[in-house]
Amino acid sequence: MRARSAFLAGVGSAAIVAIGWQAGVGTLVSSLPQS
Amino acid sequence: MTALAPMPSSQRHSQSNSASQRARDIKRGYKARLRRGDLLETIVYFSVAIVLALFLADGGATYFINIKDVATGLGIVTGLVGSDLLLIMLLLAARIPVIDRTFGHDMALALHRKLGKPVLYLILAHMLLLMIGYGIAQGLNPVAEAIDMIVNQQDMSIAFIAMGLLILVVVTSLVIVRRKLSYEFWYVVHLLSYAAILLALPHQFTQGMMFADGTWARWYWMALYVGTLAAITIFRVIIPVASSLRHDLRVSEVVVEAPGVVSVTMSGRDLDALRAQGGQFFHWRFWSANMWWEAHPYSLSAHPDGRSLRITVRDLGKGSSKLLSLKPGTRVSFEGPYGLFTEAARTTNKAVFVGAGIGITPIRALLEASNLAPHEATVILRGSDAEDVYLWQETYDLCVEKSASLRVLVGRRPRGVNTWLSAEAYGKGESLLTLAPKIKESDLYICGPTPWTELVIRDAQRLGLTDHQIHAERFDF
Repeated sequence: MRARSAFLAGVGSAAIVAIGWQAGVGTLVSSLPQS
Repeated sequence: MTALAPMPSSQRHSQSNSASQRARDIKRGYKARLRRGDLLETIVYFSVAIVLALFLADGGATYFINIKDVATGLGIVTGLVGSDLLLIMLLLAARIPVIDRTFGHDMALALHRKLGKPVLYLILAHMLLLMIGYGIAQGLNPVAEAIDMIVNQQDMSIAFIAMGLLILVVVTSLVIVRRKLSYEFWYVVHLLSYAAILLALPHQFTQGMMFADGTWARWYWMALYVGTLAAITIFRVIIPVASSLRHDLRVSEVVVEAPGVVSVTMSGRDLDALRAQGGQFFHWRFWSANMWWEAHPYSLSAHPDGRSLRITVRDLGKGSSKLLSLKPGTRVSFEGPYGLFTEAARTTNKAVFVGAGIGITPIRALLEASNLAPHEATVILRGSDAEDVYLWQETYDLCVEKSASLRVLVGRRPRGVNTWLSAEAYGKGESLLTLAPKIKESDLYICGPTPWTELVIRDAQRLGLTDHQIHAERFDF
């Protein structure tokens, strides 16, 4: 895989994971112990 | 021994124009293949990213808040990533045309094998981590938890059977074990991987929270499984069967080329439609009484002419020795054509072809198929003795027709020296560079025994040839 494509694939993958994180962060926050 | 035909001077000008156009076409094709390869690899990375994203979107991060849930969270993640890569392994072996045209059949299968152990480790980790994680939650030790899963939880007993089958498949595919097994036995065991995936499937839907009704994950995984199953069914079953029936291939001639070497010519209908290229191979099944249950991969030894296909095989194993007894009219079914040992792999307009022993067969067919301007190609043939240089006259005639240089190196290799050259050539100080002076700006096609091939590749790499310039098709399963 060429370097530029590998970089784009890495950035794209990270973006996809970030979208998933963003979508699930509400569930995570509501699960955290409340003070 | 050298053959070199002169070129009429009147043709030189027009040939140089067409040669530069051809060089541009080759470069364009090469870049398109690189882009396609990058895109396919990116899809693999994205598929793993999507799996992780769906896990997180469904609240997967909550497993990592409490230490007692971490094993469960990791168990789910390893299972998801392992399953995703397992499906990618199956797609790599599904004979999908775009994968074969981009990476070549041998490279795709090499990657398939490379993924085998990591995938097994991921799925084993999935099982062990969930036994620990669920055990902690229920106050059971991991073994008691496993027994509880098998006895009380829906679809878990068959999931454990699937795990056992997967271990069996990977262990029988390890090089050291596989060498001791017959191809037919290994193949049957390998088919169990499909059974393992089907047996593991139900627990993913009934036990896995990630596949719950109405979630994106459920649709994603269903699409992945259905797509993989469809690809395998279409490219490994439907197309080969339909193609074999359509072309009605039958043995038309069996010729003994040399002691233990036989050429089999097969004729059939509409063979142009196969779009087979010299240098490619098929998996052949000959429907004779003593051969119908086994299929073997053999390269074409001549570029297809639209009416017939020819293979040339040396008596290396029980399958190939039986070819000598084939009768004209025998029906032949096939899978293929496969492989990127063709013109499509070219990165430049010059080429060097190196073949040893029976490895000359795809070299001869590729040379015939290649679009070469005069003096752009060098052919190097190796044989341990004169009788070991097969299809020699045909190759010589093709070299004359294409004004290609032909070097034939006959004789044993020198003792105590790790070289692919004959003792005589080595003694004279010959090398890849002296035999093919334009090799640095050429594509190098090699076919011969694997250790010998590796020595040629080693010398080419020392000369600075890139991996993209070196093409060596190996027959792996």
